[in-house]
Amino acid sequence: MKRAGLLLACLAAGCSPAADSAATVALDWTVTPSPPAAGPVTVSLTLTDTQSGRPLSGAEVRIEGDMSHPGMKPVFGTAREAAPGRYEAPLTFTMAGDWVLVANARLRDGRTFQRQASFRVRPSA
Amino acid sequence: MSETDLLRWPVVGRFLRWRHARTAMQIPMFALAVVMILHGLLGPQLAPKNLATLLTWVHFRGLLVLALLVAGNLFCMACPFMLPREIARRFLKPVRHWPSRLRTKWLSLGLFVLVLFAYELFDLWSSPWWTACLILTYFAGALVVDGLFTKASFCKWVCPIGQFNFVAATLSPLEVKVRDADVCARCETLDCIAGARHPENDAIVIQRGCELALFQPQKKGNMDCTFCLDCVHACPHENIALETRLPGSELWADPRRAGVGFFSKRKDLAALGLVFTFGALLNAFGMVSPVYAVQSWLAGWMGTTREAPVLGVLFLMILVVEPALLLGLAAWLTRRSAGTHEPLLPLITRFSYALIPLGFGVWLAHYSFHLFTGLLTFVPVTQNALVDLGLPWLGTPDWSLSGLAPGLVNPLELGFLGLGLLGSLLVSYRIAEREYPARALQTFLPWAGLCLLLWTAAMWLLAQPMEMRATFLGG
Repeated sequence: MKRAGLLLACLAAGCSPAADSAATVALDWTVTPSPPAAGPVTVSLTLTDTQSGRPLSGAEVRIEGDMSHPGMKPVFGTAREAAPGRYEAPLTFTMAGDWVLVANARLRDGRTFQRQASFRVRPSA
Repeated sequence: MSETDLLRWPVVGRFLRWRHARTAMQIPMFALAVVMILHGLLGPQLAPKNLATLLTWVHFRGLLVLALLVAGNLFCMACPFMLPREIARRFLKPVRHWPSRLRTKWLSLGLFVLVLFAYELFDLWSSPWWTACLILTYFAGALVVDGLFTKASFCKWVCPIGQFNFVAATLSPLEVKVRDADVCARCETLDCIAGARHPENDAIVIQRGCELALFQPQKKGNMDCTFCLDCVHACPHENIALETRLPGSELWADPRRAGVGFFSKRKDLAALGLVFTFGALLNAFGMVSPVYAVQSWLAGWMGTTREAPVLGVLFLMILVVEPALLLGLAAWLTRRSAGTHEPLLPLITRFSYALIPLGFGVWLAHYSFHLFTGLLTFVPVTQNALVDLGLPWLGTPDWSLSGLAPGLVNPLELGFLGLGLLGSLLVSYRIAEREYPARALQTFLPWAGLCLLLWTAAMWLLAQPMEMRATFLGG
């Protein structure tokens, strides 16, 4: 009983998202093809330091795609750096609808952050 | 057909006959509901990663309809919303009776439509927070209504889930019914409805009777029955069974039913059945690509970019105008075939129950798709919730777990729709036979045509590409 109470208390207290330790990083998303359609796509991310305006190279970026509807399996992609500060990840949208893309990144200096953006994916042609 | 009484089964029967069986089922459901509410309010707000949205819109709905198909009204039996109400009633004894003017299904029907409308307008499936609020609203509703009014007023007159279950349970294979009518005929205490009294003090009720006014000897079918088994515990003669029966048979019979009356005279029940059926199509329509084209066209025609009025028109068309036209036409053709001049509305009321099996087939196809394609997703979501809490007892989330491929679920969906069509055709014919014995076939044909038309619409929906969107006009 005590354990259950502890679990509920933890649940109530511990579910907030991790703190963003890279508030000065700007992230621009592009999905190709545009507008995105169900099927394989390329997600491009540009990371820029908002203070210096310089591209951020050497980051590790992992992309996760979730549908807005529960019960759907997420899709994942690991990005490679295609140009300084520009990262590309292959991803497959398994269905048309609303998708939320989540980028989890670790910068070269060890700072980590998470950003997300929503995309409407059209049915494949 | 020989019936099987589950209450006579060795383990299941013994458990169900246990006076605290319902509470024993409600406690885990209540605990689960609390976890869902907390996760919905405080957990990640991404629907596929939250237990509130996942369990409500994928697992609960799917298991609910499957339980109704293979057994009966099991959700109401284990309803978690009733647990706080039961506790509250130990301290607060309501004295008011539910207003007689509201003793119809119109209010609950309106709330059922409201839930369907809110589901589309607020994209409830994509919002853990709103889903948690919806669950809380059910708890609060049950507590307030049954805190103010006697008996099971919330279940019988208010709860939208309950109404859904009552309608779908008309197709369930299990029914709570008397074992031997002669025993009831000799009974003088009527405990099944009045409750069992203390042997030494008649003022003390030690086991309540049916709170939904279903007097067992005159109870027919599952309408309004929550499977609470209060009657089973109250009957001093152990004369109540949980028996198998022919699913759907109560839809074509029209006896006077205790606590319900005649189906043929209940316009509110007929309307509930129609909303159940056309709502199934509407709810499924909301998930396929063409709905967005229709919404865009409607928005352009209405000169608005707001979703509420567009959805309002869509609901009006599908839940009111379409049934009125289609059933009106079928009733008019029936009247011509029968050679009568009776008014159309009573005729529609009598035949409308025939569409319930098809509606149930559509709900089954829709909800089983989500359940089976996302069956195992609760595993990584639970793992993730525990990891978020710093309690990785179940390991790291395995996001590769999902469910069956859509292609494998499609035959099942076709089967449910086919079963629904057959059920509706059978009920239509039996009603036609009952109403117009001399012209059964002729009067059946318009309704058969309507069933086929609705089935075709459901098949068309099934063939459409799914598009799970939570945005209006692509916004």
